[in-house]
Amino acid sequence: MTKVLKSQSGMTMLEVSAGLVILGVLATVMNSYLLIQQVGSLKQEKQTQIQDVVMQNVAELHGKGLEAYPDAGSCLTRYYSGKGIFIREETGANGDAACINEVSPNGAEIKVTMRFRQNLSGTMTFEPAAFLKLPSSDNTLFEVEIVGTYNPPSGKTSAPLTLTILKRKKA
Amino acid sequence: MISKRHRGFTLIELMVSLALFSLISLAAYQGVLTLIKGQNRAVTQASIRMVAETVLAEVRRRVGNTIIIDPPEGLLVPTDNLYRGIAGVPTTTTIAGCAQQAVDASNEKFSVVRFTSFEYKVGPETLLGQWSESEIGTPKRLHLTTHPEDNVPQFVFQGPGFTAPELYIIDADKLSLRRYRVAVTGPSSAPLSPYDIVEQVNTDVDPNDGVSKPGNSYTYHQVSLQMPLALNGMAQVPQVHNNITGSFAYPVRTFLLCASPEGKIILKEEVTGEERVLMDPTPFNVNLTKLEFRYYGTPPTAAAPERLEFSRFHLFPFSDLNKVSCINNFMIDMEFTAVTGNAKLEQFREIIPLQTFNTRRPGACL
Repeated sequence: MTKVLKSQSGMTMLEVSAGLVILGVLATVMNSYLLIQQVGSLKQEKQTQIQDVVMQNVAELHGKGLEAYPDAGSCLTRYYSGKGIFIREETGANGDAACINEVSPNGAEIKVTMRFRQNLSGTMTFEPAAFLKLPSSDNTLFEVEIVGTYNPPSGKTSAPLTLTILKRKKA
Repeated sequence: MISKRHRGFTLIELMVSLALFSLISLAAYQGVLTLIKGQNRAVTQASIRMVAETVLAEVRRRVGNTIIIDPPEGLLVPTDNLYRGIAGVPTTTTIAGCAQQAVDASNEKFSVVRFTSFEYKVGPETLLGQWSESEIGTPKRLHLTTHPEDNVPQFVFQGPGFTAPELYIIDADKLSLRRYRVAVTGPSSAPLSPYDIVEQVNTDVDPNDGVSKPGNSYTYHQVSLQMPLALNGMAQVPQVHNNITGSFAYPVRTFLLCASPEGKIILKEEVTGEERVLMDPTPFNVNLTKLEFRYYGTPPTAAAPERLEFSRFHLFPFSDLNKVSCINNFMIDMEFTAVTGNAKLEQFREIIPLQTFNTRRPGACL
C-alpha cells in the first residue's frame, strides 16, 4: 500500500484563501505607496506652478509704476490653467464675490487674487528701521495682497499662497 | 489504489505553474523596480531641490543687491555701453572657466552674467569733500566719514582691515551712480597695505580742502580709487562729473555667475579672482543641462499693458535700447537631468527684482 503524505494532499481552501489575502495586501501596499508618491509629486508640481504664477505677478507689480496700478479698493483676479497658462482676468472691487472667494469656481484652475489698498503707512513696521526712511505721511504706501490657489475637481489639494507687497508712491 | 490527486503533477501542470510563477515574479519585480526607481528619483529630486534652494538663495542675495546704474559702463570694452550694474556676456565672448552655449537666437543653454552687488552692511559713508573722477589718471584719494568704534558695525567700513575691492559713489543730487576700483597704493603718499586699502586716519589735514591746520584734529576714512575695468581689462574712460560733498559711498563687488565646463555653478569675484562653487551636481548623479539668465524691462505706460510671464523675459545682452533704462527684473532658469536616461528631473525658475538707483525715476519706463 502506498503511503500518502500530508504534503501531497493539496492545499485546503483556507490555505489558498490566506495566500490570496497576503498577495492582495502586498499588492495594495505597493500600489498605495506608488499612488502616494504620484500624488505627492503632483502636489509638489502644482505648488511650484502656483508659486511660479504668483512670482510672475509680483514681478509685474514690482516693475509697474503706481499710475499703472488699479485704483485702491480694486481687485484684480487672474485665472490660469493647471499648467500655469493664462486664461483670463477680471477687475472688480475688493468686496466682490470673485475677490472674496479665492478659489476658482471652474475646477482645475489656478486663481491669483490681487487686492489693492492704500493709506497703510501708519501701521507698517520694518526691521531694521534705521535706514529705511519710511514716510510718515499717509497716501504714500500702496499695499497689494496676493493670494494664489489651485482647486482641482476633487477639491482636496488647494494650496493657497498669500503674500503682501508694498509699493511706495513716488513723490 | 492511488487516487489521481495523489499521483503528483504532470509535466503540463508543472509547466503551467512555472509559467504562472514567472509571470507573477516578473510583475512583482517590475513593481519593486518601479518602487525603487521612484524612491531613488524622489530622494534625488529632494536633494537637488535642497541644494538648488541654497544656490537660489545666494543668487537672490547677490543679484537682489544689484542696482541699475546710470550712466552705463562698457561691458566688453570701455565704450560699448552695455553694463548697467548687471549685464549678460554674449556667448561669442569667451570667459575663462565659464561654459557659454547658445541653443538658437532666442534660447541659451549656458549663459554668463556679470553683476555688481552691494555688500551687506547697513549704512553708507559720505564724501567729506567734492570729488571728481575726471582727474583720474592714477589712483586718486577720497576722504570719507568715519564713526566711533561702538557704531562701526552699523556702517560700511568696519574700521582698519576692511577690504572693499570696489566702491559705488551715488551723487548726493542723484545725477549719477558710478563704480570705482579701490587701488592698493595711494598716489602721493606711502603705499597702503593691501589690508588697509580703506584706512582710518587721524590727522591735522582738513579733508575738505586738503590743507594742514596745526592744532586741529580730523578723523576720517581715506581710500584711493581708480576707474573700473571692462571685461577685456581696459579701464573705463573718466567722465567730467563732480560728486558733491555728502555723496554716498558703498562698498560693492563685481561677480561673474556661470556654469563651469564641468557643469558646476560657480560665482567668481572679478577683482580678487576668488571663485566659489555654488553647486556641484555630480554627487547627485544629475547633470546641469541649462543655466540661463534673462532680464525684463517694463514697457512704457503709454504702450499696451503687458502681463508679465516667463516668456516675456529677454536674453542678454540688452538688445532693445528703449528698455534699457527700465530694467527691473532678472530671471535665472536652471535645469537638471538624470545622468542615466537623460530624463529631465527638475527645473527651477526664479525672478529676482532689480532696483533702479535713481529714486526719482519710477521702475517703469516713463
